[in-house]
Amino acid sequence: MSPPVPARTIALSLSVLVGCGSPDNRGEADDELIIAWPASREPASLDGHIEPYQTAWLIDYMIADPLLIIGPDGEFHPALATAWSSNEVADEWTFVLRSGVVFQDGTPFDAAAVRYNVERILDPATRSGEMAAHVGPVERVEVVDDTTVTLHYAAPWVTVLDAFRRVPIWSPAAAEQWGIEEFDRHLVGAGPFLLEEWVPNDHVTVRRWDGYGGWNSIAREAGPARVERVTIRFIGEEAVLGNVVRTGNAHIAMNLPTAYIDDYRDAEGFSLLTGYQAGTGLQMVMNVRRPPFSDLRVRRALLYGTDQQAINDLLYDGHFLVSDGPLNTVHRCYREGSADTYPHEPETARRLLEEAGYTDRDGDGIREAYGVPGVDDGTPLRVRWTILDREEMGEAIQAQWRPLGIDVAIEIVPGPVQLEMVNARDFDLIYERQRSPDPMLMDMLWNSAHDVVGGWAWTGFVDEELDGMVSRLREIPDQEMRCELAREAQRIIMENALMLPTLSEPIFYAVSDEVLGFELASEGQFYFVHNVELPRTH
Amino acid sequence: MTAADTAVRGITVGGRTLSPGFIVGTSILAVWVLLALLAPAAAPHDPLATVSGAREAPSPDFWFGTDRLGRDVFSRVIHGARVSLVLGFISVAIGAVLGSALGLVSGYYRGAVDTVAMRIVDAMLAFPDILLALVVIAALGPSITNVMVAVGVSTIPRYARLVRSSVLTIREQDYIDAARLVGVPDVKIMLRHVLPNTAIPLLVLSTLEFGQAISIGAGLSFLGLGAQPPTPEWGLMVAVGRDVLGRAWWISTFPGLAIFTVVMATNLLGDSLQEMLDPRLKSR
Repeated sequence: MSPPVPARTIALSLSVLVGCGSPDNRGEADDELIIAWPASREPASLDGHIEPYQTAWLIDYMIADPLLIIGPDGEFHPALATAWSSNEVADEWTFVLRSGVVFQDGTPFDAAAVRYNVERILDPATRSGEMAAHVGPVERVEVVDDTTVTLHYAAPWVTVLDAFRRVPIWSPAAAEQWGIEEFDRHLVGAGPFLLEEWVPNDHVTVRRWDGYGGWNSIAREAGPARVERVTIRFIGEEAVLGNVVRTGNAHIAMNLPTAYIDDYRDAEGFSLLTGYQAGTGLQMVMNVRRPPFSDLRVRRALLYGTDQQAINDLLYDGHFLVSDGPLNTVHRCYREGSADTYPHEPETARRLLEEAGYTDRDGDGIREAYGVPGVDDGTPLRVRWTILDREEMGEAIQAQWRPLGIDVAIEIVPGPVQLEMVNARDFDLIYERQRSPDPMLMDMLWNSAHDVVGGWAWTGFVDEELDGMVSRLREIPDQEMRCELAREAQRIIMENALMLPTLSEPIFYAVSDEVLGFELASEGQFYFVHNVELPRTH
Repeated sequence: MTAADTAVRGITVGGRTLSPGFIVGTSILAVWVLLALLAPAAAPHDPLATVSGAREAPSPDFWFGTDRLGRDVFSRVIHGARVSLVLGFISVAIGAVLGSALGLVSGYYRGAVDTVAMRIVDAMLAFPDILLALVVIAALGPSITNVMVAVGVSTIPRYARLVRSSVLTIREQDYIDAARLVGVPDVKIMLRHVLPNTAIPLLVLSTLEFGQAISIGAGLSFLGLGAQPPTPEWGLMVAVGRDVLGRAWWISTFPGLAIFTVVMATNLLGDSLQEMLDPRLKSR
């Protein structure tokens, strides 16, 4: 008999802490897959309808199958929906649902359940952090019959599939029973695992649901998952995360720190997986509402004064991807030529800062404002660099900008504090990252219509041409035409220097060879555990 | 006296025997103070500049190796001495001035003043130093200046207790009564006749608190609540290197050793001063 979970938890925690476990440490955990995540990736809520961070959706993937998925091949595949279609103008979307599916609490899955989920996301009381923006302006959800549901949109909405591959479909009965506040501790979906427990700052454990029918097309068999349990353990120390698979205290480490990559590359008993993420990269959005970034010359100076490749080489041994615009280089709508817009030219940066009224008169190496509208003369040029983690990147930027005469203050804040700061518009440069292979995220991030509390357009820049351009990304179904629009939007954004592109972080996974069937999605942050086996523990 | 006796008992200078602890402690501190004063000349590189590749092992070019940004750890440790020694000095000054004033008034006037002041001190003593400092930092925000204030505040109760206990004895002396009888104002009595007589225990306590302040300050910076990047502060440097301790041990180890040597030196010096200046200990 295995010990109860708390005992196992304590034993595991201790062995992780001392960092001297052996591969046999997992022996007591019968058929339990342990995945280590950086603690910074722990979501604030497990309910993906509410939580804006993708890691919540990743946990939800184990508990609730969505209507469809993006598979490892980058294509949409059926899950709880078997087919989908839209009318010509893409303002009506119909999903044909899989029949014979029930939720983990026995509630039948049908069109009414889909309607409930859509309405729950769009209900202001849910306070959906991001999902509502993805689902879009649904006017009405029509239940055609038990297995057919049609979404009627107020305007063409071509990104429906990309939205619904994220949406966990929850049991309406369970969601109603627990309410908005409590449901994330009692999630009930129609996925391969049941939520067993979530201990914040420590772990999330899910247990195999024997009633699962393999409804997700990623599942190789029409039946329950193979592993008994999956535990996601949140690790605060990089050194522990880097060694946790080698010491046998986890099977998989997600977001393996780059300093540990060489320990797993070509190492016997392990494999190293790399997942690339199409999206924005680790961009720093500039607040153009107030000085110093209300001045285009200052914004451009930062771009000229930053050498991203040097940062990549110095900090990450060149393992990251250098970004040079709002969409990263692995995005299919990436704009070629962005790299040439702002070559690394510190002298140009200095000249622009001088022209903008920033001069170092007191000789302390930091420029002060003189004659800058809205700024007292003599005010040092100090900018806040607000991030969730990756402090070292901020330090590298500090080192590059100091010779330009710019003082950088690094602020490391948790996600909810970041959003509070954004809502108060209290930031200079703030981290913002979105991951999606669809260019619609350009609309989400750069359309000034979304510059509202709870919205994701943070920069404060208003431009009719840009707004119109990115709005159309929601309406035009032709993929190439959408990419062209997205590229044009990127040009405008870079000409106006609204953000500082930094690096794109591939997700590195250290995986023990004991694990079979672990699959990355086409986006690096997502993976599937539906087919995972741990043969050695059988 | 043999050479071995000298090594054990110390060196006699001007009729006073300087213990080995005193000599070692003073020497180590003197080296650190000199390095701090001469940091710009002594450090081979700009402590904030990237001068080489990241995480390079110690070598003839970079004696203590380089950190994650390719900065010279040796130069940063030397410049870090400035931050840490100033932190220790100012923190001790804050605690000594405020704590002594509180203890002086409390012990001199007794009565309600004493009762209220000592209950406040008791309450502060109920909290560990680091916790008290954390509370202050939480209120003021993270910065090296606020760490000085926080650490200084956390030492106030010990100064207050120490000075009060000395004052309680001193105020009963005949010369204090004499001063009162001839009409010397209380403030003058306290400053001219009472306070100077608490100097020796104050000096010993301050020496010990100096090392403690550096240690707590480094701890707060380690937690991200003190010095902020890119300041070359020892606790911050230890924190930055801990994630790669297994493969770049030098990033944390050398600043850690710096903290260790300074704190050890102040403890040795404090203990030695106590032995030398406290007649009760000297007679043993």
